[in-house]
Amino acid sequence: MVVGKQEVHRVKTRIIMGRTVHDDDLIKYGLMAVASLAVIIVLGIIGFIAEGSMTAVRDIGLWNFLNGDVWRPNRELYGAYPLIVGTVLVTIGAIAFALPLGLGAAIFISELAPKRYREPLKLISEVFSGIPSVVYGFFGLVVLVPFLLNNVPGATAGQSWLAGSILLGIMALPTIISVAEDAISSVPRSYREASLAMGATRWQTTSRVVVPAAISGISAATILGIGRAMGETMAVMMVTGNAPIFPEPLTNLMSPIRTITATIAMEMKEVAYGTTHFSALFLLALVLFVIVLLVNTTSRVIMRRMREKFNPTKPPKIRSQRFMDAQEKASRIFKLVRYAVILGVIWILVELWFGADAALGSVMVVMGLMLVTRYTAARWNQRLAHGILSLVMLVVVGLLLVIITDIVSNGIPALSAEFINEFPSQGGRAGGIYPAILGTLKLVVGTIAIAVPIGVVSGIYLSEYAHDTRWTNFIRGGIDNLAGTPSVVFGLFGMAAFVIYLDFGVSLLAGWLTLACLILPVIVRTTEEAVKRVPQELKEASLALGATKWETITKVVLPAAFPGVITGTILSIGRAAGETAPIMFTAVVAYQTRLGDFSVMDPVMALPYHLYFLASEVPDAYDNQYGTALVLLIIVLSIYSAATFLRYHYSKKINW
Amino acid sequence: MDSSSRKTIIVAVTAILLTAGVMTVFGGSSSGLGESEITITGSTTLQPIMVDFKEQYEKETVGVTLTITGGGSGGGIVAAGQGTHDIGMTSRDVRASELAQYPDMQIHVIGKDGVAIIVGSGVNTAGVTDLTRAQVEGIYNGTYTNWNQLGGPDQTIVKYTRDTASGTRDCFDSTVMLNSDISLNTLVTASNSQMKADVNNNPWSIGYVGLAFIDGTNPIDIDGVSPTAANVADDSYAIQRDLILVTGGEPSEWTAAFLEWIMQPTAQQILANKGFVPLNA
Repeated sequence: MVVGKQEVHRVKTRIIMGRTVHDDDLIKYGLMAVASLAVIIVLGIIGFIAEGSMTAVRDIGLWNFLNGDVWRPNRELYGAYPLIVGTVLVTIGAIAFALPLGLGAAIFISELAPKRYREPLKLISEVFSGIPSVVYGFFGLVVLVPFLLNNVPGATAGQSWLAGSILLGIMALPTIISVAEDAISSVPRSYREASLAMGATRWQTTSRVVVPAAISGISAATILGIGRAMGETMAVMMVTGNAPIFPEPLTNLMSPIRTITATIAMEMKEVAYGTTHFSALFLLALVLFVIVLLVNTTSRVIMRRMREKFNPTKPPKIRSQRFMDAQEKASRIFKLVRYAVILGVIWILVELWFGADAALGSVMVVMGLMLVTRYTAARWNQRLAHGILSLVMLVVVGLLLVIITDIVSNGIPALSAEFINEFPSQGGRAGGIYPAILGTLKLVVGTIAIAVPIGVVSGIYLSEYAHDTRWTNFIRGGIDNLAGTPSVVFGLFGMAAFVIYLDFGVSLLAGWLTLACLILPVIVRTTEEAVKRVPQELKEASLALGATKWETITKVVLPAAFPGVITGTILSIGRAAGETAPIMFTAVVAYQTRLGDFSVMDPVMALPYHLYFLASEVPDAYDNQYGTALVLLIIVLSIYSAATFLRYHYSKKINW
Repeated sequence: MDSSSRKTIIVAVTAILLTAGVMTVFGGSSSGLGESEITITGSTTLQPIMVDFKEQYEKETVGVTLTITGGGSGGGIVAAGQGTHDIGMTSRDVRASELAQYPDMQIHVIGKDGVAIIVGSGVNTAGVTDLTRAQVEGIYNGTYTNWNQLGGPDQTIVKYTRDTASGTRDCFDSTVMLNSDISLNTLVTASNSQMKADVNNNPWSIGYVGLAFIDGTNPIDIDGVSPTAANVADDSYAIQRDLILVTGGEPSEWTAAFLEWIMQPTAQQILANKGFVPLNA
């Protein structure tokens, strides 16, 4: 697609009701209709949540709600300020943890790792996203929280901002690695060759050419990661301590903290319908929406700037000297801010463990290193950088190993043939989990069947047909916002829209639709990115050979973008299979001892909810709980291996 | 992707979507088991008991299916009040506002539950094994911040509470926090199991759980009375609550039969096995 210039290619026409219609136009409007679905869903969610918030706005007042310091629902005090601060702090911490690790690992995988290790390493990072959040939560509870309690000097409890940020950071890692790696590895080889030919080292090429060229994809990765961190519910609820207070002082990482999502998840389940409290939780969801919207808009602005700056097809704009000076100054300030943030994080972390003297020392050392590397030989810098990248990759793999080992070693004792193919008994302490396995498979298959066609079509529309108009920007914004919507809000939306309004009841169908809304943005975004990255030359060649635009898309663009589409689908299968909050009120029953005939109107058991049920309400079900987690992991991993095989197969076929 | 495989995929997806659509339209009338299905929703505290009831009741009574979903006490009361479900489960008292909204609502008390105050291993070893209710209130409202104010060693008290939505918290608030509120810096956990893990992992902590979760914890006596089923049954242990089922109005024949069955010894024994306190103990 060429913006601002008429595209020249063959057009098919047909006569409809006496008028000549271009096939391309028909297709375009058809695709646009599908893409607008995402906007309708977003509007539906906003409308429903805003409607639910009205009572609270009237009873409490918006300003009192936003500015109030005390959240104490049983005393009718609804001050959301500490919850908002808590959400923002936990997310900042999570990104500070996940971005360096994720970006480092992505660079390592695409630029450093030998070719044959790339796919396995990618797979490893994707395994992270297959671990359901309840499992992360329990890992946090059993391993991370006690670790912090015993190792941080002066800590009285392990539940803290730090624990939440680390856990959310780990959960945001696969999204960041996966999307960033895709972006980095799709930077054209000619860029690298040009840079290397000019005598730059590999590290200089990576840091000055490849990463800046991939910045759009990296920003997308960060946004998706932030969305994951902000929207996460079950895990954060288990490790942050949930006290609605401000850290004292504000950099006290060991202070308990409470997020908006945890508040909604904890309080919604027992609150009386239609009360101020009920409505206040909706208002909280609305506030979260606005925060996510702000984050998205900001990052989109930054992203567009970056893209303009590094767009190779566009000649640089001619600017006045004064403007260039100002820009230079701004970028220098930006650099300084970046260094200050890095040093600040190091200070806070080191001070926590080793005190202020050590913190000062390590900050000095890092600053010294930064200065020294300006003057040392490029190959020494490369050695240092590559060493750090390898270390980052090791940390990521190590984190995964620790979590997997925990699940496997605790889950193996429960695993047996009976566990897989029998119904549960004694409330889940004994017997098997057959109906939950079956239920999860039913949920995932239906969800994918609904979401993938819609998502892929929307992605194609956005990248190939949509011009940069206000409306398409609106659609994009809607989709990004959908990605950042917390899963618990999807659950509420699904309950209101499908279970109650459309009267499907708690059913498989309601679960499919709710989960489809949840995974739609991931599929749209990854499809769009993948389609966009298909080289322009390929499209032009096809058009020049006389293919229509639609033929070019279906026969050339889509096959070439297929690996990217598969990545999106893999990520979303992991989410659909592991989510608890969206299906809690829409699709699941806690317990089935026999199964009737298959009907989409009947509820099902599902592995993540069964796990949550066992973990939170059934005492002494430790073995079956880990067994369930292990089975869930095995199922997701098998889906992953199949998809990875497919992706590998296709990416081998296409080479440019 | 060659065009034949693409066509297959398109046909398959269309078929699935169509089937889903058709089943949506016609599914409503054919699903369910007619009158012999009893739908139950509400409190997650009561869910495990109900699940055990289901297992036994479906064995004894042919042709009846219990469908149990979670959704919280509030949700259970609304569902029963509006008639979308036959029975609502609640682990807190039905509020006056809810009774006003659904005046026909019937309340069935099926058993009781005690809430035990539990402490970390350090507190237990140091010999703090008996507190008064006023002392517990003082810990939770922030009057006492160090165990040495209560006869223990010089260690900061780490206190855990449940979320305000929990029935266990409701019970704790109404029987212990008589004159004050739990201070805001108290750590909040979202379930009984997690409370147990949190307190067990922290030597200088205090928390509270339902009696069913007391195994493997360090419960303390309150005003000299131990948190046991017998002491809850005869009302000598004060921190306790009722387990309640609600129906929207006069229950249907099937539902009434089930509610009656719950009061029989078999069901009450199941309740006791779960760690709750039967009505006629």
